[in-house]
Amino acid sequence: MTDSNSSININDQEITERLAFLQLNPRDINLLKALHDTLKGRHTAFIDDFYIQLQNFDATRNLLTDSALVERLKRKQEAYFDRLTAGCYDLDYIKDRINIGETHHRIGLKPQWYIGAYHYYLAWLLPEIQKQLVNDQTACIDTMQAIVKVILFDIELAVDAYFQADHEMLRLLAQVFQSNIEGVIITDIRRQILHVNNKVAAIAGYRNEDLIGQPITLLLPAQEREAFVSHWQDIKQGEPWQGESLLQHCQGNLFPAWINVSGVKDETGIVTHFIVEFSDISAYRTAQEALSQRTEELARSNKELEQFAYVASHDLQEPLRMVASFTQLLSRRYRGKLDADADEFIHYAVDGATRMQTLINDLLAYSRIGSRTKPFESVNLNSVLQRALANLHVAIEESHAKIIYDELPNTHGDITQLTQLFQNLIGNAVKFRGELPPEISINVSDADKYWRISVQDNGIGIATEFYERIFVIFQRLHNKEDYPGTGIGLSICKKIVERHGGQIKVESERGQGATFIFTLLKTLTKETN
Amino acid sequence: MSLENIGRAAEFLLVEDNPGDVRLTCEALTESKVKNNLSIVGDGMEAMAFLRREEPYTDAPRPDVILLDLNLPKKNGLEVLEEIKADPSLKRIPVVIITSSEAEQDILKTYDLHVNCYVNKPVDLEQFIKVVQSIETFWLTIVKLPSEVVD
Ligand code: HEM
Repeated sequence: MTDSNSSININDQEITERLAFLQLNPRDINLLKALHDTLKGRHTAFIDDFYIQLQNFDATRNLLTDSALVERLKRKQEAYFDRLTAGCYDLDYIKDRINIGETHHRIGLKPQWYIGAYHYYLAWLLPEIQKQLVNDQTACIDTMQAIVKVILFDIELAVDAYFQADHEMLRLLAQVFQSNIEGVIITDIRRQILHVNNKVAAIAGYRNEDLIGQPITLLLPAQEREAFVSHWQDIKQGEPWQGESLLQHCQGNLFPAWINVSGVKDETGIVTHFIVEFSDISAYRTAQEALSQRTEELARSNKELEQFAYVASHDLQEPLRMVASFTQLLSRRYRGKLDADADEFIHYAVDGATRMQTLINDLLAYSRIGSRTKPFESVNLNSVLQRALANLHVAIEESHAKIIYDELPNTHGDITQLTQLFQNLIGNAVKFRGELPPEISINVSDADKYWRISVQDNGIGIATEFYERIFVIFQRLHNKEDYPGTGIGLSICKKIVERHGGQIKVESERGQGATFIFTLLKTLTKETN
Repeated sequence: MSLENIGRAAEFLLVEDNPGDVRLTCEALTESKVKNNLSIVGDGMEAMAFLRREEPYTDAPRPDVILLDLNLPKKNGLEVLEEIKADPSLKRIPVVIITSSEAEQDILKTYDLHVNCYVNKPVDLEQFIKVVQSIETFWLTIVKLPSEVVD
């Protein structure tokens, strides 16, 4: 016999005990052995007849549709019946029988069909015995008794197998029931609590025995009971209910819970029990509230920062204009009239003031993206691109740049900002060109909820370690002599893209050109800032 | 024919509270070829008193062109503009807004109030001087002003 998964523990001692209870004695064994010899090879006819009987019932017929299986089965059954009277009921015999029982259980054959089937066997066998022992009535009766005893022994083992298999399932399900995540309560149809798992106690504070027999409403605070009246109706109809509700701890305090209530149906589809699963979501709620508060705070402080940047840059402009103008005036009027030191000092003062003016202007432009905005409107990106190219036409002509582009889609957004986005990216591609005239290609692809637009150039490229840095305000990679600028352009691009619900990144290798890729939400339900 | 040909100096009124800007405007105008007088007032109330020749401006000349800042104490540039354009005796005087505000609503609002032109103060000195001189050249040598016409 192949090894079975069976966890049944039957030892020699128990076999002896069971057989003793059945009063299977050595004389029985001898009688069975004598019978065994006369039955050798004679089961075939019975088994064929047996299978005909099995065709009369749906439950048995449906398991026997495969004719190859039936042929195999017939041979196995023959061996089975042969072994029944062989007179050796040891551990190996028992394992074999339990295996067969497990097979029947596994295929869904209910025990009544298996046990009832012995009737057909006895109906064939008993007359056989009577015929053989017609002259010895005692031996005849005793043989019949002996065969009944071993059949009962087999049935015991089959029942063991069925029980054990079901028990195993129960053991596994019990583990599931004792969930560590959810409280689980089983109630009867009147919503009286039948079973609770340990988590219920942990969440709601009750001891298990305090809950058994109580109505489930014990856990529902008064204000929630009303709502549940209709839920129960739906659940009884077979619709599970899931939702959030307050539950009441045994000490009276309320806590938010996520609850699932479903009905358990019997074979006819009628709900007989309810299963209530719930988890305490207080911690989740607290975390969620903290998160939304933090998000709110962040948005506020962002807004404030933007406001600050705007006000600062706007208000700083006036005094700075004075500094710049009058140092320039100084330089205009007195250059070459004082000594060389004075000329140099004036030069640095003018230069510093001018640089600061550019920075403040850029900061102002940057802060305006978030704070002084027009509502989004429908935008044709082709005309946006054309506008950007027109604004850049001097740089494009001077550098002999070749620009190719896809047909671009329509989208929603701020036309001025999107123009600026294209203008900055294309402008950069022209500005950071290599030895060759710039070749710039603008492509679009469909990326689910987004348009994915790339601006690719053949310029000097960007080393990987600077991918993040280039999008940070006032971060520059080159000195001002080679490439003038404050380092605001890409941070403005990033802000514009993000305001349009997208993202921007760069792919490049030093000396290999760069590709800036950004996404734009196709449809904006509301502004993302 | 334009102002420079009628034999008197052109009269500018500059309404500006920032002494730095006043000085810069003066500087720009001293470099000018056209003979001009520049009167200066520091807020909106003074501007109206000047134009209406109220104390202490009873002897004030009538300006040929008004240079008006928007951001003024007491009475702001918009209010001054509105009063000038509502006053039949003043409304013909050309008003040039010269401001650092780039706000769209300021531009639209002032034109609604019949401003004659709106100019941003350039941040760069060279530009600033150029702008002031352009204003001067344009208003004093190119356009025909109502003050040239004897009615
Ligand atoms: C006294 C009655 C019965 C005996 C002694 C018996 C015996 C056996 C034996 C020895 C096997 C082979 C188990 C194995 O491969 O390990 C088996 C399998 C099977 N039996 Fe029974 N059986 C009985 C009743 C029934 C009945 C009433 C049905 C109903 C249709 C049935 C259907 C099957 C089927 C379908 C299998 C094959 C399972 C499979 O391998 O997929 N048996 N039986």
